Amino acid sequence: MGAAAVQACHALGKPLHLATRLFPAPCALILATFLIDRVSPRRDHALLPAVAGLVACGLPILFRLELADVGSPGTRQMWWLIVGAVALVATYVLVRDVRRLARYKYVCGLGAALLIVVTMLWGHEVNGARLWLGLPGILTFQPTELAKILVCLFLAGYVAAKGDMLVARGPRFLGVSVPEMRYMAPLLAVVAFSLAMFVVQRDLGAAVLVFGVVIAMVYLATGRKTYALLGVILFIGGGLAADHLFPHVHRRIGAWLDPWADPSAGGWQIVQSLFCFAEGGVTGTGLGRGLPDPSQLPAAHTDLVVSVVGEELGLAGLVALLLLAAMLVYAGLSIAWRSRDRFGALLAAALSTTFALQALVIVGGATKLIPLTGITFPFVSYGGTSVLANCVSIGLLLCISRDCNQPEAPGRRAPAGERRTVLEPTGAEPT
Amino acid sequence: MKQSELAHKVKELAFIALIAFCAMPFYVGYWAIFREHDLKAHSLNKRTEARLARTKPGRLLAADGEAILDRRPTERGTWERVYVSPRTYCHLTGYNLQTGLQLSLRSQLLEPASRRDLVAFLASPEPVGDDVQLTIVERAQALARERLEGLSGAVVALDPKTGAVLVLASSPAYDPAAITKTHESWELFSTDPQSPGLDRAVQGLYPPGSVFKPLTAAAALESGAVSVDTEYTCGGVLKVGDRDLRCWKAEGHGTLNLAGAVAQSCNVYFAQLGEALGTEALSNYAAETGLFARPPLELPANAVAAARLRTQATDDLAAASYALGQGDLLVTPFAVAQLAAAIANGGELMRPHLVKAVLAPDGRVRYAIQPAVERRALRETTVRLLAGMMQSAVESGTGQAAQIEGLQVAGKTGSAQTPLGDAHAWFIGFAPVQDPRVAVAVIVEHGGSGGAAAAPIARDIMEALLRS
Repeated sequence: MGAAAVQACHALGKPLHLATRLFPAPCALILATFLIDRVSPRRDHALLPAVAGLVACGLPILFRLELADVGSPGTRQMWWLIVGAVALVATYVLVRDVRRLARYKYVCGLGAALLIVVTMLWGHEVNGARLWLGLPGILTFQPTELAKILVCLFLAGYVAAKGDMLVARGPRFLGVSVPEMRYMAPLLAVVAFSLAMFVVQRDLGAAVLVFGVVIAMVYLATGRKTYALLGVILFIGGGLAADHLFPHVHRRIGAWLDPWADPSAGGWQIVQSLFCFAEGGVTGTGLGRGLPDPSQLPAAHTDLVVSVVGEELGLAGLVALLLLAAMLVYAGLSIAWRSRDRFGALLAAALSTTFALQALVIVGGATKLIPLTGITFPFVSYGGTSVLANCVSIGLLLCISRDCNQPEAPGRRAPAGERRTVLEPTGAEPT
Repeated sequence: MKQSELAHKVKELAFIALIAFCAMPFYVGYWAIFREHDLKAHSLNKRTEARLARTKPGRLLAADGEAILDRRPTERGTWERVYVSPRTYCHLTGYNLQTGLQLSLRSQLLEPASRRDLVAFLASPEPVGDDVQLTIVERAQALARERLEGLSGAVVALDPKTGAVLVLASSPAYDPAAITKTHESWELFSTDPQSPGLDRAVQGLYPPGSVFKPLTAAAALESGAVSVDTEYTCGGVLKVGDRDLRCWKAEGHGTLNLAGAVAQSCNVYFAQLGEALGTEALSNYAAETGLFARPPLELPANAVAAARLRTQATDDLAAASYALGQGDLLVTPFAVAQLAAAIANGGELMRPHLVKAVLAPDGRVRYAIQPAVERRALRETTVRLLAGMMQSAVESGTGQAAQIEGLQVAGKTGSAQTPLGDAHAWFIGFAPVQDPRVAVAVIVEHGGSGGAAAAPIARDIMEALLRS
């Protein structure tokens, strides 16, 4: 990472000492890993290296954008990562038993709804999307980022408790057995909320995210592919309806289908993003040799950071980024399938799915596979709340791996959290 | 549902996610690899422009490694082209990225090696283009420029054994840096009636006049219409149809065989050959040799012309004119240089090329052009006869001004009639006759007699090339 920062300084003709600006962030992450290891060595060991890898890729890119006078995303992200590292350790230490969180599922659901409604009412717009709360220019806060964790907690809690009801035979609809409405209603409410977010807040990214997690949860709970398929059809249908009803949605979809029709206005962002990938080719132009000016690539430090990677590090760099993200998702999902607790498994799956969707949706959007949506690539894009929320998610995943995994072979040191029980004279294996 | 079942479903989910992550690079690769070129060429893409300004461009080098087109850094951190001896090489370099070799060798000169050499790309501190070494011989090219100064015309010299272009000069010349400096200078350049922008060597279309006669002779020999000993009598004038066709020698050459006719450049003899063969057979023969097609040079395709061999009229007068290299027939100096080169090389035409090698920035040869046979243009037996005739043309005929002390030179003069003024002076030739190492074509527009105006220039060029 240091080498990359030095290279960026060199390529852009900036003094080398600027490269040292970034170092507190990796130090904070290493310290966090060290602390968590002290607290309990028996937990997942693949998650944090994947996060470190993504940070090591993302931070020099943001730093490079900072040198090209695109604000100061590198330095700010560095501070946010330190805050995130603290939040990660705090989550890990404060959540004594992640299974207890299942009790607060409705609180979480309502909390998420409240956050979103508040943003809808009092949030201020940036780039046509109403996503931010707080004082513009001083400290802003993106509540949907935290809402997505609460939604995951709610969905995991609800499906863990009521999942079996969803499988029970109910009335038939279009030849498919549909569960009873009272069990489906909360899930449909979440979906309706996500669509409302899309239409009112113009936040397609969050809507796709929430919807994807709901589909994943329903599939995990019921094991029925028809439900998942039905959900996808429902979402596409909703999208088509919104395309007809709302002009801003129509414009966005038009820019996706044919950005070349109006490349200097609606299609500008997507067209520039494609230019980036073409310019980068396989090996990229080299760090600092791209053209991520705000005039040429809007939102280069947030949504379209993947396009900057595609230009300067090339297809090879982007594949590396996708591999790290896939590693993160795989580690998260492996926590889920090793979990002996239903809620823990579902929560881990939900959190991992959000990471997967974030990475895939933004890369897909930047390459015209799907409509471009405002969404951050986890740990790579600049975004304070995003980093914070992602760190808390990682903290929760580590908690699940600590609390819910199968006990390992005897002789290994028990984790600190369980040591008390192990020392009980009965010697019963805690589950 | 049991926990193990849930675990199984999670594994399915992980499988789907991994497939999505693995598929994504292929889709990105579609844009990064397959759509690379059209996206880079898009008019709204400012990245191409920015990259070109930042790339340290490769140089154009002469055969001995001296720079023809150099570069220097500007204060803004970009690079600027430096034209070394601008007027000597202007038609080769062009005056911007859209003209000349700067256009046709653009990917070598300006594409950093990234796509072609990963190791060099990773090691290089800045994007650098490759150098291109040309086959042009600096001293001879400068001499050609000097000799053409003040005249309109062109000089082409080829290595008949390899097809390497040794000299490619056109006059009038211009200064690439100066003409693009201001709007006025550009106006002056683009409206100049002398058309200095025209590369006369490969684009100029002229009636070949008598330098075409070796080809007429070859056509006649190969068709069996004449043998070496066929004699015609020249009385100074030949009646073709209702017109009198005059020989350049008013009193006539008397009775001549083919060798004598070539050496003396007798019009009456060749007009009779033309009548015997007809325009159809002559133009077909010329086209079949391949000498007059558009040469596959590294210059931009629209900057290289093919000769015009077809004519409308097919009567006796047209046939007689065609045989003399007059009428509607128009050729480029490069094409007649190829005629000389083919005769010099035993009838085999080598593929003409301007690029000798492409060099990496560290001087390593990335690839060198290997000589290749383009095609067999003329029969070997014919060529042997033609070479002998051309040798006597220089030794004792019209081309005596091309004689070089201590070397055997073969050649053919030409004075192509043009309605616009004095005849164009031509000379084609090659030397040394036994082991030809250079073939040359010279034209001086409205220079009058080829023996007087063109042959001395050809002589000097050949001498400069052979004595180095």
